[in-house]
Amino acid sequence: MSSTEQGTSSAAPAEPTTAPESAAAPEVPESFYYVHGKDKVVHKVSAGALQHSALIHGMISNLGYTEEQAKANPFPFENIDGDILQMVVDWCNQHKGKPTPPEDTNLPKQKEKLFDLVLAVNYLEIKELLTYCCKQVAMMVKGKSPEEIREIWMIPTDAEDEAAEKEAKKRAGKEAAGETAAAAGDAK
Amino acid sequence: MKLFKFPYLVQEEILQNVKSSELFLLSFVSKKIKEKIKSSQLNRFKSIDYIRYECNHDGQITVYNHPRDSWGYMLRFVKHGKPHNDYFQLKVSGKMINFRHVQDDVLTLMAGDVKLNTDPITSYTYVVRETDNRVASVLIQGGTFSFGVWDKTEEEFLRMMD
Repeated sequence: MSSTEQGTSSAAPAEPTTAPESAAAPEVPESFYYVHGKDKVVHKVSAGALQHSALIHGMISNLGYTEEQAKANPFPFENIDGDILQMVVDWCNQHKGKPTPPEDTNLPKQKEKLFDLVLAVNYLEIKELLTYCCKQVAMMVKGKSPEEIREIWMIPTDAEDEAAEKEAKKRAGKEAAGETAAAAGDAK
Repeated sequence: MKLFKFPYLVQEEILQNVKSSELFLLSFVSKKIKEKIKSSQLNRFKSIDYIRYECNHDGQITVYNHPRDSWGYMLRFVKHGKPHNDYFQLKVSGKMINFRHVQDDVLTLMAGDVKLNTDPITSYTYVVRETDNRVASVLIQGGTFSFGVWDKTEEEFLRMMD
């Protein structure tokens, strides 16, 4: 498991965290990159582990980052909570260079954590982990009644949907009226 | 966890992993989710080759769907026997019907205490032989099941059915 330390998004981490070392050390020294989430905690991740994320992999290939540059400028993911980013980094490290198993039972069971994880994984484009997460979300409604499903996935009722639609129309109407009034004001 | 807060493709991936019987129940939750299922699961519905209704000697009917790559239970109709307190009610075609999940997650429709107000089934389908354009047809009407091979082209057959 990688350890973490507090840092800032712009400053280089004084002593970045270390990735887990595999039993057999690779012959060619591996490159490492740095990422941080909303909490600014910097995580050191190997290039191999980051291969899972199409987004980060694309950023590295497109920007042509050297290890020194990456150390000075960790990839900022301000929209991802620190603990969620930690989970993602751990998963990438655990599955570095390994074929992914058909199921992953180590995903969070709490609904809100899983929700945040799905959003983060979707953003980072980690396809295999997204598939596991979606399976886990789907499993939540197994054997449940429609009312229980509504509660679990917080699906609005028809009446709530209609009310929201009316509200949106009203708001759009007001905005359009405001724009017309502003345009008339400008014309004067 | 709000399902509709997920990005569109994530919602699709989640629904893709929901079993048919659960999708059926999900469609009762709201009109919006029903439309979502219809639009996003088109490929799954298209992949169903046929639906099999199996009736055993107790009169219990089991419904299976047969997609190209796998098959699965959808629904089981049983007589409403012993009272269960783990059922839930859904309004189907204007009638309240009791449903429950049994041990193997098969969705069970308990139809014994309700009178299903459905019209007698009338259904027909046909296939056309490529070599001579002749038709074979199956017709289910009330309690009658008819199978026919016709010395008629598809056009002639359809004209006759009209």
